[in-house]
Amino acid sequence: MTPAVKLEAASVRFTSERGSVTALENVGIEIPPGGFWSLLGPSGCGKSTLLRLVADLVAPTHGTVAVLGGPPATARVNRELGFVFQDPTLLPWRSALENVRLPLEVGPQKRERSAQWTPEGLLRLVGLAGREDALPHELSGGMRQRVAIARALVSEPRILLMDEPFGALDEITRDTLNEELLRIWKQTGTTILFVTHSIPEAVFLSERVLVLATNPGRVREVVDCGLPYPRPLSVRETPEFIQIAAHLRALLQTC
Amino acid sequence: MATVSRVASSTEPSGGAPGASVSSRAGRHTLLPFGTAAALLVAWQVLAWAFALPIYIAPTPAQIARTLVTELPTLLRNFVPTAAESFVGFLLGNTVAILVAVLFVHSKRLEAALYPIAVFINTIPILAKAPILVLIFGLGMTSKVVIAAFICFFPTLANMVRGLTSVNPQSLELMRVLSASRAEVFWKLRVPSSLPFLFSALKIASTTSVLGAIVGEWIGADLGLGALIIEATHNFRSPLLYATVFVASGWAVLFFAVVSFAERRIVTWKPGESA
Repeated sequence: MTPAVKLEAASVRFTSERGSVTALENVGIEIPPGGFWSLLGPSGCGKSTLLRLVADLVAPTHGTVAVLGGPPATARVNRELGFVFQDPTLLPWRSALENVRLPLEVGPQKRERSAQWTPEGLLRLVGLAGREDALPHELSGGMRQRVAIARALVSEPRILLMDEPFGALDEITRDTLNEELLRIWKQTGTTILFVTHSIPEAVFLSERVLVLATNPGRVREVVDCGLPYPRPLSVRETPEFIQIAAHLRALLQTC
Repeated sequence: MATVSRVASSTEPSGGAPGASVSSRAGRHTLLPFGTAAALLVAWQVLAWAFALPIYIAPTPAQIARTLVTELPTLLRNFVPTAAESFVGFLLGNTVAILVAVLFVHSKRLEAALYPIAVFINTIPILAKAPILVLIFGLGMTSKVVIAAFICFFPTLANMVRGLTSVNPQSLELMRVLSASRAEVFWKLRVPSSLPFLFSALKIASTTSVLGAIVGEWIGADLGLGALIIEATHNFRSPLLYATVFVASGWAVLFFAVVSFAERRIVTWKPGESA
């Protein structure tokens, strides 16, 4: 089976007048379709750069990036990629529903692919039924991020890239959205790459955690979480969970 | 349970009361300027009586009001050209400014070549620009329209350039992930983001366009509120001068109110909030 994402000896170097910074060096990973991987690491380890590499927002300086067996640009144009930023990045003049519709209105592939995930249905899926006409400033931070998730899913992407999507939310909202994300992942079968700073979040959500080290950004270790799904929030109190979290914490200290 | 219901019942009346007082306070605020204006007029009337000021130095509000009625045909005859010049100048100046701003956003080179010149022209006082434009466009209404357009042009250009370029960088990344074309980014992102900036400029332009038309009429015109101001001043017809000023200001305020109303209807979101 073609891997959803495959990086081979991929490096990214940013050059400016002040010199060059190696954001990622010699990264080789292979993420199977339908997988849920988290990217964990200290600030400046290139987590976001790796995500942007897959999203075709950054090009590799060396090495290759393949998304669904082809170049990332093809996947982007074919609407195989959904991106959720740390800020919801909603257009403030559009209602929740109009924001979710945006991906269907722009780009070369405008048409809706199936009736399975309508914008209305997606807002229901993320728990925002009845708030379709609300403007972003009328919604809470958590609700805005739900709208952003619905927007990322509307073109039925095979890969969902999430860059610290819940980083700015309070813990209770974050817990709720974590559970919902797992439910959405199971329902859609999308491959998810999830950048986070939080060890418990990474362990709770992912099948695998990719630990990155800094200076230069590189893969430190791929940790298998191995906890069975569905995972209730209480899984975080089990010895297995605590053991994996402790292992990750120890790893991060050496990054 | 008892505590919960007590908390709920105690918050409800106090929760309602501030809301009510806020709305009545807002009501007082809309009436406040009218109250101040009325008080000033009364004070003016009383002082003019008390000091027995001659009518040509400072007419009383009552005399001005009488003139507004008796000279209404003259005032209206002169109001029409000024209103038309300022309105057409407003449309012309803002349209050109918006188009130039769009060009600047699409071509940095064009912006670099032309923006400094626009700034330079803007530094020329309108009193110096007006005679030049009257020489070029003649004594008719055209020169006044052009002067009004000039006065609107720069604030709108500067605001619109800022509005079109002040797009949230993350929104641009989003559009890139969505493979949006340049035209789609422009219409779906840049134009709506620029609207709050555009309306700030249009509100300025709504009053300055009237100023521009009047200044143009000072330089040379047979008809118009500007011409009437000059004529009334030279003939010491102070009540007519004041009445003309009231008509001109009334028109500018009405113009401003219409633009503000349009702004409230169109910009329904909270600008500056990167949601």
